[in-house]
Amino acid sequence: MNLLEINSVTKTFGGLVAVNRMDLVIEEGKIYGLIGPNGAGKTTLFNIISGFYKPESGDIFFAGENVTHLSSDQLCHRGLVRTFQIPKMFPEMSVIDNVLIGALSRTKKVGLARSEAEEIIHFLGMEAKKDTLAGSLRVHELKRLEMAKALATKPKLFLLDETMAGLNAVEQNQMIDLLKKVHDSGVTLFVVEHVMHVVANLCEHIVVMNYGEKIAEGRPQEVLNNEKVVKVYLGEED
Amino acid sequence: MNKRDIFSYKLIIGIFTLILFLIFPFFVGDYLTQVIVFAFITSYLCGAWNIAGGYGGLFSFGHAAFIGVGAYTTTILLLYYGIPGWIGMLLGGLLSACLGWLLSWTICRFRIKGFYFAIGSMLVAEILMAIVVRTRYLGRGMGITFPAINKPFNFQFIGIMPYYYLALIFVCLIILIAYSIERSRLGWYLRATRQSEEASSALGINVTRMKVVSMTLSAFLTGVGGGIYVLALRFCSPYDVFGIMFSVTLMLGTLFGGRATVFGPIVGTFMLTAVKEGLTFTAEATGGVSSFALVLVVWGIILCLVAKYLSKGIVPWVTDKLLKISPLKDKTELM
Repeated sequence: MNLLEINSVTKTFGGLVAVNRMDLVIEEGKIYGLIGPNGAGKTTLFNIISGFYKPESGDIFFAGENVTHLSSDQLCHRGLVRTFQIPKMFPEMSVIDNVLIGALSRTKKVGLARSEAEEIIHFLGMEAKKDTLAGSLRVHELKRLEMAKALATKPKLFLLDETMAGLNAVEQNQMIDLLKKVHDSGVTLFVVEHVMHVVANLCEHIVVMNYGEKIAEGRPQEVLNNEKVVKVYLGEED
Repeated sequence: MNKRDIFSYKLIIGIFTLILFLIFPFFVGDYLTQVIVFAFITSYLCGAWNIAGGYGGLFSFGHAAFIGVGAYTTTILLLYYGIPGWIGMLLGGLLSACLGWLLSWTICRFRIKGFYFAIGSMLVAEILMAIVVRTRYLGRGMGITFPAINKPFNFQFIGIMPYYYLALIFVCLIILIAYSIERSRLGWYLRATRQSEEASSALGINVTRMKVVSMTLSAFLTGVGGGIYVLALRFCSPYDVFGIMFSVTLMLGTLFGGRATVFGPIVGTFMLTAVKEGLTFTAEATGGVSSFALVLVVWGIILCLVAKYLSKGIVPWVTDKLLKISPLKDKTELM
């Protein structure tokens, strides 16, 4: 079943076409990757899907429903949630309270939400930092918190914007394991990523963007050997 | 110490404090009682400001608008139409709530934030004051004086004692309201919205609704407080109830005591009242100095010092100190 369907979506900023007639289908249960050079429109596409930007034209269907004009909070309640490239947390709250806010999207009872937040914290192995203020966390911890908050809303489709940025090799491998664990729990993942070995390792299907357009898509090995993709990343031979 | 011990300690301290305040006016003169009455009312108003300004992060500089609307509604209905004060207070609250709703809807619609919202809200109060000052029906700049009569059903009393207990009930009320908000989903969502609108929105919080709800609730409570204020003062002056000084007092009291805390607004107000009364007393004793100006100067200095050294306010500071000496790790248990 198609969890997400994007039909000919366009978004412009003034004269700049950030996303140009983009088509995309995401099937339930897989891990999708979105790659492309800086300024290709990846984050803009994420912002459109997650309801932070409204597209000029085109339609977005999530689980069969037209969600083009829904806001991000409405999408969250339908099971579509995203993380931010630069982690956006609640700095004056502890880690567990940050996760609690996510869990409250599904229940009014604070006690119940708190025990669910505890479960997520346990799932992501963050017990040691549970009572630390989010504002004093380090980068790799913030990336984890960013995931924990979003996971607490129990998403069907999870959009991750550059989870690996700012992490060292060891932390990246931990993050890959974590993402696989999340995927195994039944969540469809869609990740924007710059780090190629992560994409090749993790994703079952890759979409490549350049100048706001889709230039290739398919299985990782096919796409990464695609002539167009190599040109975009390495430049043309003279 | 376990949770239950902490709870019973808090209960004992709470009941003891309440009894102290209940018998307090029997041991002091009328003047001091009067001072405490207005400290109570201001505490209540600070608590109302705290819902929007503290928890919700809507830094309103114009809550005097709501006080004024509540005050004038109560005054006009009581003195012109003989409608009991408590009904007037509630209607004034509702009218304030409408204004609060309109204001918060406007700022969301036009995405007015931070500084601009502070200035905008201040202007609302100033504009309302300008209108009242020019309207004969509303008593112009002279204000409206209440007759000294005893009609308990109208909330009109002779002497300060009944107002003392009425105001005490209001303080208890705002403590209960703040306490239940703090523990509910609404409280968590308000704090989340204040700290990051984008993160809140991504996690399913309707940011606009949070702003509108907190502002409307805060405006309602403030409007009701405006009613009790003029009833206790027996005088409704536009320069007073719509004045910027009132807005500043609410803001300063809450920030001083600790914003987004249950007891912060009350502690802050009492501290500021103590400073103000102390200064007034000193100024009168030495003679020659305008006590009003002196109060403004000292409050300004206090605001600077609080911003620099006690940015979270007194209550969180004391809580932190208590945490350090207590064996308890869970901070939420102490609050």
